[in-house]
Amino acid sequence: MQPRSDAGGETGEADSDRLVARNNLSELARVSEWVRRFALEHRFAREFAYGLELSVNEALTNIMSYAYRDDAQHAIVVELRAQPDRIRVEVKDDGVPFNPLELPVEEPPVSLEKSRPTGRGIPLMRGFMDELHYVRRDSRNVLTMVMHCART
Amino acid sequence: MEMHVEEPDGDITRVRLVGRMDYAGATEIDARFMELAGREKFLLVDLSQVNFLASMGIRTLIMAAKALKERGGKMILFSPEMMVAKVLKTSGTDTLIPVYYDLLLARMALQPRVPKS
Repeated sequence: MQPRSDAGGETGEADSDRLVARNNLSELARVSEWVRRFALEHRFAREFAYGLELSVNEALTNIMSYAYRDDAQHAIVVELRAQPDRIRVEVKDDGVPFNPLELPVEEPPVSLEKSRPTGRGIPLMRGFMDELHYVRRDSRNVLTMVMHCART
Repeated sequence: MEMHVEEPDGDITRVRLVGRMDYAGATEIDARFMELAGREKFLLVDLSQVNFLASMGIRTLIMAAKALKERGGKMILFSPEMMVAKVLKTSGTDTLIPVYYDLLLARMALQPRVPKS
């Protein structure tokens, strides 16, 4: 499946752009590159661009790793929207219903022995984004992430 | 991503990681990094040239640090750039694997003894 841009893309500067990714971790590199290009076109400061790329990466990693119980190909839709004072990301998947925001906020492990190597994606999204919202709509998980920022 | 292992200095081996430590980057170095953690005792992981760190990269670091500790060894992270440092802090990784910016302090943290002059 090829990336699909509803707006912007090659010409840049449009306020929103959309990409469809397959449910395969190998897609993350292409998604990251797309986010970086969007951030560059909209002149986000590095701190915001990094947080945006990281949060999209973590949201998709979770979906690709845990949302599907079959081996079929699924489409994950990511939409980026640049507003004057905020960046909004919407991630839609047709995986099993899962609200990542219902996961309890874990206390950080006190020792290496007691720590798990995984489970850091959601804390990172919480740390780098200002708002996270979840809704199950039309048999899809819809995660919206918002970052308040000023452009350079 | 690139992984450069320097000649050990005493019991300390410095490994320099270069590039993006995301899913693709972590997959590239996972096997060699774990092999290193299974062989060496004190590992100084230089992150100064890592320009992106995601949870998949943190997974690699924590797995290796756990393997080292089980064998009586230790890992420290050295000189991450600002955003990588923020990822380490936000994920609570910096409380599990110490982060240093001063090479002498990093070496002392790995091997707490007075170096020979």
